[in-house]
Amino acid sequence: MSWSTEPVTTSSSEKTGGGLTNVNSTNRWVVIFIGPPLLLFLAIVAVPTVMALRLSFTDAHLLSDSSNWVGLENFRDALGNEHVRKSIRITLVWTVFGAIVPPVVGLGIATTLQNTSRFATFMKSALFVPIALSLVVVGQVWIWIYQPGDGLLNEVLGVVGLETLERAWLADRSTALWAVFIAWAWQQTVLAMILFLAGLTTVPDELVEAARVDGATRFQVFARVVVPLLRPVTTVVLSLIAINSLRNFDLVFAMTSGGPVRETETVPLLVHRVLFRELEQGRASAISMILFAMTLVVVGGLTWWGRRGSYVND
Amino acid sequence: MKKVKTKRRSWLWLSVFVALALLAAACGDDSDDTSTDADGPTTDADAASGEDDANADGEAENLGNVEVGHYFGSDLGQQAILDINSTFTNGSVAISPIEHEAFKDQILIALAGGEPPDVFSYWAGARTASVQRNDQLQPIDAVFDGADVWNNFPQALVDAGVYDGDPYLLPFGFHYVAFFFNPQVLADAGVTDLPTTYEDLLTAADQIAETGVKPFALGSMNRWPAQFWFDFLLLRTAGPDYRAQLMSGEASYEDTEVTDALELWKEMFDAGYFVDDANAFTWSDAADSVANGEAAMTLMGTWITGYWDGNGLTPVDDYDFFNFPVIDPAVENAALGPIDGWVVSADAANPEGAFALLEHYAQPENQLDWAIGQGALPPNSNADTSQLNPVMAKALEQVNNADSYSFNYDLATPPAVAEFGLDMFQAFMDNPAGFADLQSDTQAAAVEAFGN
Repeated sequence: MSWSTEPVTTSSSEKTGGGLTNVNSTNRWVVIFIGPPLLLFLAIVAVPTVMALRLSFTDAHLLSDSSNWVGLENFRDALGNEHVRKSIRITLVWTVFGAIVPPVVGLGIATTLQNTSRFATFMKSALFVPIALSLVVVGQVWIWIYQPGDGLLNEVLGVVGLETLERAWLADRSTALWAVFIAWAWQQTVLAMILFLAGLTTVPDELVEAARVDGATRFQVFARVVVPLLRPVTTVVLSLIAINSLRNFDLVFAMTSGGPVRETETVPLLVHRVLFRELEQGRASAISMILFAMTLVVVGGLTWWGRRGSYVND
Repeated sequence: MKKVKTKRRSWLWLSVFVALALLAAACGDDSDDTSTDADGPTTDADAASGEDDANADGEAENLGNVEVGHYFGSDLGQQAILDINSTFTNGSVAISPIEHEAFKDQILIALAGGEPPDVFSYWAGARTASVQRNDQLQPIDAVFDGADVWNNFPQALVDAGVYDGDPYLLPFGFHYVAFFFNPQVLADAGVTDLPTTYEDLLTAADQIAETGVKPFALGSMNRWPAQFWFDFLLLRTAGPDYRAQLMSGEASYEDTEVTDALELWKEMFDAGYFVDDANAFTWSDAADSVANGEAAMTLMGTWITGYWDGNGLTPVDDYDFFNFPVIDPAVENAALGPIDGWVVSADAANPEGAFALLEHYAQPENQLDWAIGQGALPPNSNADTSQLNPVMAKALEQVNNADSYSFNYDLATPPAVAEFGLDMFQAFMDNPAGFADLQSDTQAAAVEAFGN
């Protein structure tokens, strides 16, 4: 949909050459305002990324100044290594479930709290708290919840007669990953909720009313009208959560440090281990590049999906 | 129209001014950082006091400020460092304590970034060797000569500070790993004679278990606390020479010696002697459970005494220790533990001040003060060890009586190999039945790591 079909007209000032001055002036302002952030971007993102890419083709050691060019060897080693493959698997599983659980629950809560009652307003404020907490604090809170013996979760299970389910949630290899994931999803759900709450305000009431007049049920209105109109904000939610999934380090490090026995070792934690424990900077850079490629594919795919069905473009 | 142009130009100049101001602030950061680092992390009074002493003395040469980073976490140990620094008369000391686990990463970041502190604490053995071999440290001959470390320290500890023929690390405190126990729990279980043989240990464990208390507390969440079990079971069955071969890659993790050690460990695990879910707890959790009487003992280093002392426990009455029992009488009696020391960065901004400070740290009274605070043993033979509490005095006696002294696992083998070994111990605590697979996995990783 095009917002204007009027032909572009040329102003008299442009015809006389005054326009050239305006264009130059505009360009100057563009340079002034875009230049500094662009320089910052180059300095703290682009250049380090290129340097990491270069390192990934070397056998660089963290504490050594010299390194040799090894071509694709680090990538071959990484992709052939069982621990790297396991970390990639963990990260992808995390990302997939991260793309499902927080957005779905967040949308559900946002829809419920959409009205302006006092309770809804209070809950919106209360639910906002987790997103204000650092992931390390979130991790500490959930460590207390999962504590073996007298942790909150085990206490609750004991009270409701489910003692057989009590366990050391973060030390048990079968539950550790999901235990950390739930802690992370708890916070990400709030992020999704906030964005969906904002997105819901952009849904035109007339469309909802029209659908209801046409006999649509509440679920049909939600599924056929509201959800499609939320596609742009859904793309933002999914992209943010996917990025947070792929780069997840703080929370896992605070809660399990990747253990027990590497069961929660996401790719960022693996990079940390290879760099700071094994001191292999070249290999750590190669794994980082693999993570970077994964991020590009996931976020690129989501962006494409968002644009493909958006009702708001063109 | 002219007015508009003037206004635009004003905005342009304002923007340029702001950009230049930001740039100037960014450029000025480095110099500001230096002074902040020197003063900020220090207890100001502490940094100043050294200078005051130097001025008051009037003769001591002021070598300026020395930046120090360390990982000593005990409150009493940290206070001891501050007290020792306050008597340094050759300059001021800016000290940055960093949490033990975080220190392992942060010091590497500082070294790789070329901005390490002048002096930092480090673990003697494979970790120091790894840093030294990458030219990140400088020799401290001046310290060894100045404080006559060569003659004032036991030979084993002098050797622990020498790498590739040159002294790089000043031993500051060494530890002894043993079974630290709650005397009341053992008394309640009727264990009157401390175990001296493996059979005694199992009998005592059975007696304790019958009272409903777990004999062995272990907190292997951070992996390393489990290594002492492997270390001692291997040392007591295969001996220090075989273990040294395994640590250097000359022996295999699939050897029968390793299998036998793990088999013994598994038998104790199967007997229910260990606390449940060891991987869910830290070493201090394990120490707390012993102190609270929820478990009888924990295999840990003497630093646990510093932790307990800080929590108000009384040596002998509230805690004591016994040596890891003999398993095979034909195998020599090896003591085990880490050695904490100080090293000087190759990029130290104030090497002269660093050497002077290390010479100060080598003095017997300073080594003793810190050892008492931290729960360590003083390396300097001239330290007045009569001031050690009875438990630490007994630990020193055990070390002196030992046939040899070995580094614990993660200091005895290169860091890249230790990573996989530590994983093996944690996996073992999760599922001891699968230890054969763990052996083959660890051996494969060790071969690759040694190959690199």
